[in-house]
Amino acid sequence: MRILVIDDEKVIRDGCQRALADQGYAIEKAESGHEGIERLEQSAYDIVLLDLMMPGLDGLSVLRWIRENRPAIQVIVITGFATVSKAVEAMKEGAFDFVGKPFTPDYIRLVVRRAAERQALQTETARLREERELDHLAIATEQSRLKTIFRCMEGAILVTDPKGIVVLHNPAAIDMLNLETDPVLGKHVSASILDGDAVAMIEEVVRKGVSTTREFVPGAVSRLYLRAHCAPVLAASGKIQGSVTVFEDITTDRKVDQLKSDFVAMVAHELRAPLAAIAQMIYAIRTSGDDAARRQHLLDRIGMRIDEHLQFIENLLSLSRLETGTVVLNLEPLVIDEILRQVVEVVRPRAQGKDITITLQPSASDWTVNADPDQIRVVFTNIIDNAIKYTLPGGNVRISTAGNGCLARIEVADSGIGIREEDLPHIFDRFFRVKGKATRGIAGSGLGLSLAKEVIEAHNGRIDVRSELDRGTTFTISLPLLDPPAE
Amino acid sequence: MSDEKKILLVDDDPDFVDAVKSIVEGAGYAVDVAYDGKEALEILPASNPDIIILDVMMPEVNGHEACKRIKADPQFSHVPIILLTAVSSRVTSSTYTHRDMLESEAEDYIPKPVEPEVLLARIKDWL
Repeated sequence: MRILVIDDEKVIRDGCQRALADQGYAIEKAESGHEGIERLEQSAYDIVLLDLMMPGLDGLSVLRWIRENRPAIQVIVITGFATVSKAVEAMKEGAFDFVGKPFTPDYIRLVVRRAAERQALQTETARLREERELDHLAIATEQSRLKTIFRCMEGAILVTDPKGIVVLHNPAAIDMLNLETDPVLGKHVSASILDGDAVAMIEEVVRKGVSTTREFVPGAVSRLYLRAHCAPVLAASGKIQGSVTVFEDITTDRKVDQLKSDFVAMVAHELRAPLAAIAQMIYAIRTSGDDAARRQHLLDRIGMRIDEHLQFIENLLSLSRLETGTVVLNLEPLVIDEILRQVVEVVRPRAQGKDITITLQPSASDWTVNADPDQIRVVFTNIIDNAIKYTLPGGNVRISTAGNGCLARIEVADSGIGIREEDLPHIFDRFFRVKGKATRGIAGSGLGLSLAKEVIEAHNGRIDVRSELDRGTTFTISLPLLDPPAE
Repeated sequence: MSDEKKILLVDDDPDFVDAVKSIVEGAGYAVDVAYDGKEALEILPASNPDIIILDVMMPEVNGHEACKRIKADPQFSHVPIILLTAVSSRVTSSTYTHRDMLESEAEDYIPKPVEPEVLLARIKDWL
């Protein structure tokens, strides 16, 4: 504690100092009101002993200055008995106590100790107040944080009291649980959730105090596939105060699961069916007796089906790699006509075998794209192979390339059997194959076009088709040119 | 031969049809073929078979559906049907299951591929 003694009389100043010297206070002295205020402005004090009757700036003026500028300081006024009325006035102005002159050292010690105690109490009170304000602030921040989380949660949250009365829900709950706009708060949960199992789940959690997780099929709680986590709210004593249920929309997960198992079933069928045909043809060879031509026919078909099957597995793996993004495209400048020439050389024997004319029309310019040569070769092979497969003997397949703005457009047109209008939207679907009398005996995996589409799209291009039944089909592949012509 | 028995063979894989056809023809049966369930129902009256061998997984009208319709037709409900399937009981999901086989009205079912001896023995059993 720091004490300042302001008195014009040296005797009083020294008397005070002597009386308080061994009490553990730091004591400073000022000879006038002016000097006192100067010191008060420069340093911090806890207690001021102030003489009321001083020449110049008198004690009351100093007291008023202190009350105004240093309100935390305890002021004890010192006054002669003749001026007790002054002391009373000083008390009204906010002095803590007064000491009449002359005074005994014991008395002044007593008064100062009381002032010191009060000062300590005030400091402690101020500290506690500050602490409480900080706590309030922290709690308010925490509340705001929780409220924001609550509002932002994608899942629906429903909070009940121990009786199952809804006391809180977040905005997502209204949509996800199809809550009526009529306020659900204050009513039993069964008024807002009609599914008996869900209500029973919440009732059991508030009864037993054990968390649980349940799933609800569409049509139970809402139109969605929901997973509910329901947990009891416990007081520090362990008493159950209510429940919190979080509903999570797992509709998409379920749909993906279904798609996945459908896909696996489809792949399993596509893997097995050709093998059954191949095995059956081998059995047929066994029973074919000495018919050599028959035997040779079956062997040829077996060889073809095995090639097709290997191609199918290859396509399946390529598709899977493209879809999972594990395929790295080795992009390099490719002159389209060169790739087309290579592909046409490979497929030409198949076309000739069916008496189909295949023509690669020379283009006006060397259209160059940035592409993966292996992948693009697969695309061209699949498309041109298809054209040959679905064209009757005597027909033709015409291939040409042209520039179109910043795109290269490759056209593969055939005079084949065409595609029915209702089949056109599906020809890029996995495993889709046009089935009917006209396509009977044409082998294929139903993956060639899916793969072509994926590859072209991975190159930022697109693939289009137009077709007329019995007249022919034209596939158009557009790929970004490496050096688009300047506008 | 007037007592030559006729088989209606239905499967969407031409190579499979070709192979089975040559096996049963080699054993002296007459064979009509159809490549999906719809076509089978269309040619059924003209074919008038003694037994029907029907693949399950087919486009248009699948084997189960074709079987149901044949069994609902008083003129042909007595014709024995052998279902052919490459489906194992482990494939569930949206395809056909073992249960479908058991619930089917078909007289018999044989997994694909089928050994000639087994196939001929089963056909003989039902004729």
